[in-house]
Amino acid sequence: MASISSKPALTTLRQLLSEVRKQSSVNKLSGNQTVKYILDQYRKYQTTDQQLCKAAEEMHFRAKTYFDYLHHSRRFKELNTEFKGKGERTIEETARMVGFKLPHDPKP
Amino acid sequence: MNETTNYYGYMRQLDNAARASQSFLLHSSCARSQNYATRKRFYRGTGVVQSENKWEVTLDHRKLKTPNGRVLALTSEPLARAIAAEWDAQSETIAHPIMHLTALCNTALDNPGKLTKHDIVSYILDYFPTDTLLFVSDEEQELQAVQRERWMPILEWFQKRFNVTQDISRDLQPPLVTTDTRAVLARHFLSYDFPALNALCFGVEALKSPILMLACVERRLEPKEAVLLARLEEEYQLVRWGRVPWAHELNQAELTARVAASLFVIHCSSEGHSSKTKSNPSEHTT
Repeated sequence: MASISSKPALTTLRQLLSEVRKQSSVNKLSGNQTVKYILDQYRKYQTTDQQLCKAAEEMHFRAKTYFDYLHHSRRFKELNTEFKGKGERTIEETARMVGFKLPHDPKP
Repeated sequence: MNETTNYYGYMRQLDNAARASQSFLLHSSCARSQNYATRKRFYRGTGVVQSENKWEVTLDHRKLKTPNGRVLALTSEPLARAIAAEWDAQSETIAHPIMHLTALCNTALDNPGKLTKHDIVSYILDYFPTDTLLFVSDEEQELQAVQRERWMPILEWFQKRFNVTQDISRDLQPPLVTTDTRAVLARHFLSYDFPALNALCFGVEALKSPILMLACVERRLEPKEAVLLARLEEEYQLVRWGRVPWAHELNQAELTARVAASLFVIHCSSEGHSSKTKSNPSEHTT
């Protein structure tokens, strides 16, 4: 029986908080509404997990889904900014790439 | 003069060649999100407010609206908070194309395609015979073995869960889907509300597989695992040919983000009333 205070659930919590810390514009986690909400949810399901073990499992699944979303959209953004094209090169730049100069740019 | 034009012409050709090879190298999904109108972040903080029994997202006391100008009102608190966090995560510019949660909720409210639930259901049902899981490779034995090992448990789960039988394809021809299966699936899909169904369709298109999406919705698979299964052939080829971050990893990250976003929306919007009764009224402050 999975419980929200079990080890995997807490691992997810830790991952989730770390991801929120990386993305949030507020530096301190304690002032963050999202963090407050996540912790509230974890606490709420901790007290009731004996009666509602199915709900706790669903909560854990949702936490994992949210973590996946946060993590992979950040990863996508990072990769995209790292590798995306910078647009067209100018004719001068292309000429320089192959070691040429344009005619109006005389040789020294 | 003529010489100069020729020279420029030659340079332009070179440039074009360089660009062609570059765009050949860059994966299409990378190029897709390259040029879009960007908007600076114009707000400092984000939050949520509750009005009546809907949740709204605020950007510095202004309410977040959909592209059609309606206030983005949500029935689910976690979803509203996640959207607020998503807007809060934008740094200098707002990257609209990858804010999937916002986009899914906007689409559900505005419904730009003027679709009904029946339209989406019949779209997914037409998609169903071409499900990735139903096409096992017949060329490479090794790949076929991997696919059978990883896909069959999910297919078996699907048949058991919906109490149907589904053949797989032996060649390029899509396998036969009985009217019985279609009816069962249609009934199941119609039980979702419009926002959830819209998100489901988004997830199906990302995974190219209704079966995998259903396995996610029913918590049989996590988004990561489902994306791995959907990209199984790619992963198999990667082992031999090598992994390229700007194509394979980018694709994987994008698909996982899409599937996770749609799953989050589905689970949030289908939960609704059942957990409402449990929540403590004193918690409903922003």
